[in-house]
Amino acid sequence: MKPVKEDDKFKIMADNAPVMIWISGTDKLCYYFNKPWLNFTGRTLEQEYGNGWAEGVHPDDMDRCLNIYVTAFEKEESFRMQYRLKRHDGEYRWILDTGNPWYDGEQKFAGYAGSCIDITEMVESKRLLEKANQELLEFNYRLSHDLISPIKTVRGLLELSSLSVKEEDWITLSQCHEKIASPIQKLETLIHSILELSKADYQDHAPETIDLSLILQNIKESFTQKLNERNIEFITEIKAKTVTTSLFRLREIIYNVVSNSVNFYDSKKDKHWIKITTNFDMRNNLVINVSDNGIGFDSEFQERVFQMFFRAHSQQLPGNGLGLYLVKKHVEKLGGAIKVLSSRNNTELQVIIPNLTI
Amino acid sequence: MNSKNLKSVLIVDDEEIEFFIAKRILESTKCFDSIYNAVNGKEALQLFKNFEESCKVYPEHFPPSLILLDINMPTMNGFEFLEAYQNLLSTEKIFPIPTVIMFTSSDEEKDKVEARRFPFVKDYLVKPLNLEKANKLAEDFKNATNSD
Repeated sequence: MKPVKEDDKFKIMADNAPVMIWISGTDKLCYYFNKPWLNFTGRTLEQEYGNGWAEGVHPDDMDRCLNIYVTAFEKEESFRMQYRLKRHDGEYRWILDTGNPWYDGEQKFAGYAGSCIDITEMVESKRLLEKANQELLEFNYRLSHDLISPIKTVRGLLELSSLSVKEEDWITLSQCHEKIASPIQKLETLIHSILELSKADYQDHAPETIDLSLILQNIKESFTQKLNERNIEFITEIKAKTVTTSLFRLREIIYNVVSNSVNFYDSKKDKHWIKITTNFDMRNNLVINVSDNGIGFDSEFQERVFQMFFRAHSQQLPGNGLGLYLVKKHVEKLGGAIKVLSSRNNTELQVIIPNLTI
Repeated sequence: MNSKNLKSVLIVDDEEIEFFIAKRILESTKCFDSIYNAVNGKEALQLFKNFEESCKVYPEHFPPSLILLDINMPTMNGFEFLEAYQNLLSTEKIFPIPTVIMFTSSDEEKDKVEARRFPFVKDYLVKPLNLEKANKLAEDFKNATNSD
């Protein structure tokens, strides 16, 4: 085996290390970049030389980074900083750059040497975790309110009942008795919705081929009583007949959207209808449109109706603000999308779900 | 000075049962002449936006002497109402200015802090209401009106 020269040893190491390395002199200018750095930026050493490398730094990060570098440099201190650097394909990636001052054989300050790693995935998961945590905090706050609220109503009714007994007001007492079922029912529905939400988060469901007319028939049957009582016509137009996806999630999606249409029907109208159409789009995605001539909601709420605990109507109407939030969760788990096409004079929602058969 | 001496309460709450309870318990204090309801902040705000009109349409109870305000309501919640009401007070002529008391199931500190930001919010009442709390409310209210 031929002996390797000291300089070559360094080059072999630097070019094969899983980090990007740079070296600068006492003039703060960079004069060396290893192969992983050049491969990452897709530029030549000549292009990166001096301050050339700074062209790849995201403009929003530039001043901050330069400031850290120059400040550390003057004090000959180590630094760590994060910034976005443009990769060869044009995409900005988050980089963690650790710089240390280095000294020559005579222990004289000679400049800085830095090593960088791509931490984009870490930054992204941190952002997602923070978002999820924020959502959980919000959920917690809203949930505690919505759980305590019916209990307080029941306690209020008990207070009033005692007062009625004391005042011998039997009419109020009997009204309290009648009213007590409603907050309890509300609490029960809420707890049921929370259980459904946890299923949406944690259960995994294998895709299967689903007969859409069968599932719609099935959903219609679960609403038979309400549809008859309210005289709501249930119309289906099935152009897409089968789809391959999670049966559980698809059923939950359609069931909850239809449930909204049934609950928010317009009692002032003579005729009521709910119409469901199924189609495939150009990319073979399943497109479900659910429309109704119910009471609808203000168009300013079109985005907010999918937020947790958002209610567009007062407590006199049913709903705990979790229905469409649950639907959205399921749709997203299936890689699909949901939007409001119209919210007044016929409400229409559109759900798009990837069909897993090609 | 307002010609009417009636003491009325506007309860802003979307829960019909909550209104039923509060109205009946407040009646037992025999301190208020009229107790009525708006189902959300928007509805309550509308009454104040059309101040002159509301005075004419509801001479028996408008403007209310007291507003009991819930926090969590659809369309416009309690805090959104306070924000809008504050703006309204600076632009419209509203007299006499009703006292606002928060009336909510939330015992959260952050809600109490938020409510204190508004100078016209005089108290924070946590549900459920009972005769004891209602009597105290009536007492405080009487003292406040006497000292005016």
